[in-house]
Amino acid sequence: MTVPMPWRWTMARTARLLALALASVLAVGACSSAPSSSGPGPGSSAPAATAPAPGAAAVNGDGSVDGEEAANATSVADCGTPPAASTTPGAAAAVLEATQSFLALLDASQRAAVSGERTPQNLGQWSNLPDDLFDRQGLRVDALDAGQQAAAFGVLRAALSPEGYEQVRQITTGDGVLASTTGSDQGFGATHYWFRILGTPGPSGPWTVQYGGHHLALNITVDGGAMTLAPTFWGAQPSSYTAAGTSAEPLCGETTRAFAMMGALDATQQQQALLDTPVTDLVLGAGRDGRTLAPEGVSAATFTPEQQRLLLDLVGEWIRPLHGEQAAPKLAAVEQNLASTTFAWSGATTIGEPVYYRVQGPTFVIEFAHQQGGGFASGGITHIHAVYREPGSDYVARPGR
Amino acid sequence: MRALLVLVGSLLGAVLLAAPAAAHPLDETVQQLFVTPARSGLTVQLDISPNVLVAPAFVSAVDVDGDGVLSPSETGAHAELVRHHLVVEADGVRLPLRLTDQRYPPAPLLAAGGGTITLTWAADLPGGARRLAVHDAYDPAPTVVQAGVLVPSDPVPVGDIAHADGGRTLTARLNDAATAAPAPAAPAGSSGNPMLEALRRPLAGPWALVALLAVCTLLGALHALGPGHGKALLAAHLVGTGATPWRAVHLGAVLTVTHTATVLALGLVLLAAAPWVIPDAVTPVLATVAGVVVLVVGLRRLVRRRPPTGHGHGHRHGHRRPRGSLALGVAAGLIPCPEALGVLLLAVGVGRTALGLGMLVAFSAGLAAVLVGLGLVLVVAGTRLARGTGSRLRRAAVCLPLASAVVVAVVGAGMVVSGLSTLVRW
Repeated sequence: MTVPMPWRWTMARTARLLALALASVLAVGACSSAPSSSGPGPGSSAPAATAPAPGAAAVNGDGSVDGEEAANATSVADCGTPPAASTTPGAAAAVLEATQSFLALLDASQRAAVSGERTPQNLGQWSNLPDDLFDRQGLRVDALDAGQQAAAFGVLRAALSPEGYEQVRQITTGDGVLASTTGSDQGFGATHYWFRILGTPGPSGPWTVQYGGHHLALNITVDGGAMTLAPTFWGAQPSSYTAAGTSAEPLCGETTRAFAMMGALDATQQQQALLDTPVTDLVLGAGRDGRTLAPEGVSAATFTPEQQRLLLDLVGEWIRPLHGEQAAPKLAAVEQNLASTTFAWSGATTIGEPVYYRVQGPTFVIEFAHQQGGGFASGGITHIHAVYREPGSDYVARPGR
Repeated sequence: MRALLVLVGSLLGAVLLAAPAAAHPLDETVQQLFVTPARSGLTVQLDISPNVLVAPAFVSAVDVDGDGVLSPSETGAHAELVRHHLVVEADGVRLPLRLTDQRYPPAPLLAAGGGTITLTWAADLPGGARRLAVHDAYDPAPTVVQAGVLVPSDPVPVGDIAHADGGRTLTARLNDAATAAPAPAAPAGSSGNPMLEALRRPLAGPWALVALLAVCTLLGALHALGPGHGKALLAAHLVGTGATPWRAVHLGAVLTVTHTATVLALGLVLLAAAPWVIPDAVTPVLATVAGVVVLVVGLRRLVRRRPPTGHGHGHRHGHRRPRGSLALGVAAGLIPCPEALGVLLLAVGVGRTALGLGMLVAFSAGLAAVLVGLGLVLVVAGTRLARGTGSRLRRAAVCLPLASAVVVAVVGAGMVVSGLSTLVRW
């Protein structure tokens, strides 16, 4: 079966993509020579309750974005102290209310554009690729007025923890940094992110808010009082940067805690964790819904209490972007199933080297992959692809129902 | 035009600047292999994603006619090429793969590095299988292969998973208590080919080797009695030309040597397979070539042969046409024998090349014995027929050369039609 082409491909489009490849290669070369003394200090990326909307913070009046490469954190402490998670009850109801407020600000054509059926095909219509390479549906942020943007980001604020919201903001801002560094419009940038609502938002029955673009795909599924972020694609390029005077490293904890975990294993455990052959790309990335991987790597059943704590800290980094009230039962399930959890690794064990890792338990699977080499699709530790999934329960807020 | 210049310049620049990196996603095709062992059967899926710098060359190799569209015949040929390079085995027995789904993105999207080809096959998983091995030898260089095991809703429980050959080989232990019936004492029947089974088992001693080679000779003899292998040609030619016993031995030997050499040559080509060789097209091509040779020999005999007017003509003609015999022997042996080829490839695959060659020679010897024996019987019978005194027998002897020439020509035409029709389907 040949998949129909959704849009017309042009020579110019191909040329722009390859031009980006060239520009990115140059950019990566420049980044790799950045001084390492400009690393962010503790707490430098701590968000405020009044954090600006994703994508808006670092964009200057003329549409350009300030940005420069910053050194990656080398320890967990360098990532800053995460904010206290809100455990206010009624998060799902708050998301519903925020969504309805957003919809109320749209005209009929916008509502039609942003809405879609909650079919498996529509749910899976997300990607880490830029708009030039992936046909997205919905409403893009730069097509919304200021009031509509605020309402749309209000949906994200209601669904995410302050930590998660800040990560989203840093990823989208970072995409603006990448766009300004490469100096061209390649279908990505700080405001090239799309909102889409699948299903009918209501107090019962599942419905999903999607927010995504280059290096980000959030799937917020609400069903009654329950909520999930699975699956979510988390990416970053550059993985750390300074924009508008503020340093950021969106996937800092996800990086440093993994190295801390690997470093805390003894030689035998490390050997078991190491995959036999190199893995450099996500196995369950975009377009690979509905799959459950057989576990590989070292079993956490062999872990000491300290190693178990490190593993819980690492997995927590991936679950805590969700609103605290909703994350709590998921974290409890992770802890309960710790003995059935595995940790797999590919690459060097020294922080600063490109790696792939996978953590997997009965209720979740996490993959993290530095995109190795040079160029647009690569960049080593300056370019991260990652995915969080809940096997058998992606897009399902209330498993088993 | 400006776009084209930007494209070419960027491509050159990116290649030059990215060159120091040994291998990275930008300049390689990523293959992600998924293996799903379920009670309902085995599913093997391969996602092929050519990245931006290699994607144009990848697409032009698939888009054979270069029209910018991947036609069903082009995608079908590519899917078959990939399947040919996938080896899936349960407990050492290769499982046939059935293509159940193929998804090709539009050629322009694929050429821009934004598309993924997804191919899905199904295979029957034998009950009680304990070890699954999958090897992906498909090599659209440069490439990288990652493999993983998926858990379906009706899983066959999986134990240890191991990867080798840079990711190309995945092995998984199957822990299916429900289907783990006692292993059959003689698993020889599982692949339907005793020679393939023998290759996978260790040899108990020298006498076991002798016994194995004897069995191979016998199998070759039995195989020669099955359909194919030019027996109809051999018979028609020998009888029709009134050949001597020596000619029968000569023709049988030529046929056997060609048969063995073809298997060896094709085996070497496949083992050294360039990524874009389409091995499954080789057989119909050879069949067509052989068919043309046979047809020409048959037609020449039809044209040149006049009805005999006296005794001894057949004898004379038999001595006059050694080139026709040689051509027929070569042509009949040219069509590769899949059974013998399978033995050779597996022998190399399991690191027992010498044993495989020995088995192949023994197999060919058995084949030759039957073909030569058959030829001798026919020659003796034909001679007696020609010397017969009955009028009916004489009339039959008179008609034989003409009938044999017709049979040779018809068989040749059939080979050409069969070979060409297979090629057209490609």
